[in-house]
Amino acid sequence: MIVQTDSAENILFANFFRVLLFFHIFAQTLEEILNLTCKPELTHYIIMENKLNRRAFLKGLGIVGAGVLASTSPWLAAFSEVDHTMKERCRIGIIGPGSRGRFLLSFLLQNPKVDLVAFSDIYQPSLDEALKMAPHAKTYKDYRKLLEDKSIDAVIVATPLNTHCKIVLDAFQAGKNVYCEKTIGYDMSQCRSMYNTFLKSGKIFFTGQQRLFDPRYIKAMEMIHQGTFGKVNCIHAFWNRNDNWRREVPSPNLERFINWRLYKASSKGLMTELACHQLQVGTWALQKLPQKVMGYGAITFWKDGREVFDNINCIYTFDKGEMMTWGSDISNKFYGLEEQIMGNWGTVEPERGKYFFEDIDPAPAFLQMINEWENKVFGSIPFAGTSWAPETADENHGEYILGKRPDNDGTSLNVDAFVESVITHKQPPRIAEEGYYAAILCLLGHEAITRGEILSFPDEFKINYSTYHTKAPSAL
Amino acid sequence: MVLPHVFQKSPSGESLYYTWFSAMHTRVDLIFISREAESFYSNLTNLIHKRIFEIEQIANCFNPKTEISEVNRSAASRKVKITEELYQLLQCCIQSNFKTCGLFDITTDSKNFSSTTISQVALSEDREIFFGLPDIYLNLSGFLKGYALEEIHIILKNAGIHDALINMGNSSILGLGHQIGHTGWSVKLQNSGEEIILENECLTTSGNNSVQQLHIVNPLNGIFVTGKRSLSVVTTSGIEGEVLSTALLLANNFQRQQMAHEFQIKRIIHS
Repeated sequence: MIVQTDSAENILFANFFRVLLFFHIFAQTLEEILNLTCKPELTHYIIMENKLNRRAFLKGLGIVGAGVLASTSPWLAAFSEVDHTMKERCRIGIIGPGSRGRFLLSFLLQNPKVDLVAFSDIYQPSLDEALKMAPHAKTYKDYRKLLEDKSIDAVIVATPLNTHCKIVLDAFQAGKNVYCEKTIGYDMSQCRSMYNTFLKSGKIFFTGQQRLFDPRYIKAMEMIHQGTFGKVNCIHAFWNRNDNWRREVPSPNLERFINWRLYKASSKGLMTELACHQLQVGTWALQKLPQKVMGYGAITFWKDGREVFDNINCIYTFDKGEMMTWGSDISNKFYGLEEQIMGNWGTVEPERGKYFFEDIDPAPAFLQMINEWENKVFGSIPFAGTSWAPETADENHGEYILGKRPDNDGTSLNVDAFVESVITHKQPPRIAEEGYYAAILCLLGHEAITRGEILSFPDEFKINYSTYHTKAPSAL
Repeated sequence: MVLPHVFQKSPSGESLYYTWFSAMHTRVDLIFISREAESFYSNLTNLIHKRIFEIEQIANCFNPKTEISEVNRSAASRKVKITEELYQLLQCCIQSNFKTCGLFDITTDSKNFSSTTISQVALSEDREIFFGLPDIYLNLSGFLKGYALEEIHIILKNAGIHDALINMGNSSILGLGHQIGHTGWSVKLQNSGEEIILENECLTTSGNNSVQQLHIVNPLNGIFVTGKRSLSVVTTSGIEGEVLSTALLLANNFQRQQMAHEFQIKRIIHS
């Protein structure tokens, strides 16, 4: 909970926030982002000045200090040289411009540093849709042809899970930098192989763990790691829906191709498609990896020929008895999606963007003052008045982590960070490792379910990253 | 016990500690600035927390197990021996009643209350209390937060903490020393937005949060203060702040002049 800053960190994070502005200055979301993170007058100031004042932005975001941020989310260093890359270009190809691939494409097209060179997909309708967005891009049916294009610096891999490993290995072999959608591998061996190949390649490797760049999560983790909510002993993560998770199939022979998520040969269902995001949040919060996992899964509602579970619960346990549960039921959406991170003083729900204290909340005016303390800029504290009565706090509505709930989930920044890293040839600390372990955890959970056993985290899949804080940079 | 808190240390060695908890039916916020370690502040907070609960155990009339509750139950039928601390508190309250021309009164919750009810509270030198009327009910709620501020001030002084901001429920605030880079502590009133600089001073506020609220009664005529209005007063003493914020809200010009002679009032703010 100690804040230390030095000039390098200040520069690094000043650049991070500058890039936030840079990449969104032309986007419709700019004002939304700023409104969510800043007071109106601050938003106005930033827009009018067309540059970022770090102190003001930190104040608006409520980030206590660069030192804490660097420890909590070191991959934000991806933006450290944004000032020097303004005239650089990153030439990108997308392998698998299906719905997710095109979602990523929508952000890439907003980034003035990106030249979208080519698409590859075996499904022509996906290529056609992608070409509507980037008409000048080349198209390939065979991704290997795209990889042969020497002008392409980096590839986005957004294909079905079972195809990731081969494509990613081929991409590294071809000298490409890689952004691979999560879950990165179909099994743990594939993940390890991909990670090791990345290390040997000297290339950039990002995964689609967008929460790592979501301002709500970044701020929440900063607060958690500062100890604001006390000792975190339990995390309940869940992702519930009420739909069959199917996509419309134009022809029955395309069923397994289009609905690949529902079949064992191409997916591990909810664990690889949903859990991957949230298990990473749990380890991010606790700053360590679980030791054991147990779980159960079944097809209890959508008995439509699918092969993957529609109802799952897993428990991950840590060295001091802490637990993280992950569950998903896709026949009831009432509780939706959340990670409930519970400390002995309070609870954070980053997806909802709120935190709740067990007794009473810290006074916002005092928290504001603490945030200002680092910058030695103090205003008046607006709290004095007639007596605060407990009846006003009977219902615990909590406080917003960053003002109103933002719409941006971090995906655009994740993609932008990848572009920056490709341009600078610098792999940000811990970003690949977060993706690797997120994959291993969900695959381990799936294995525990299918084997019906309590599984220990296998040593063979531990990388030089067992301590989140200290080993990541040296591993690279 | 470690209470919820936020701790920060700057590269130059200054440290800031913020903690918050509920006590006295309200919230308490404490900010300390010094060069101490986190554990030091945690221990200090525990001392303060303990002291506040000791005060509550003596003088919280809403808890039937406290000393004041025993007095309220029994002092009409027999003399009740009380602790030195409660004795001093009650004596101070009775004196304050005189000094405020009767406008500060701890007996207003008594059944059949009148402006003379307080005269029926008899304190003897050997620390005994007796009520000359049945159904007298002593309520020190409007006094205790200021007293707690004074007690916290003593603890901080002994601990060598010179820069601190203590908030008891937003209505009783003590600013000791100063914020970094400032003279004193700059506090803003929520209602009026007025900025007050506290330099080893207390800011105490009484009034109604809304037009519906009726909770401050004039002991001299039994009429409640109506409307959304409040009065804040800056004093060097937390106790005097509690007494004055209520009394000045009720006072006419003559009574205000009287109080100005009796107390050291630094500033009065109407909002």
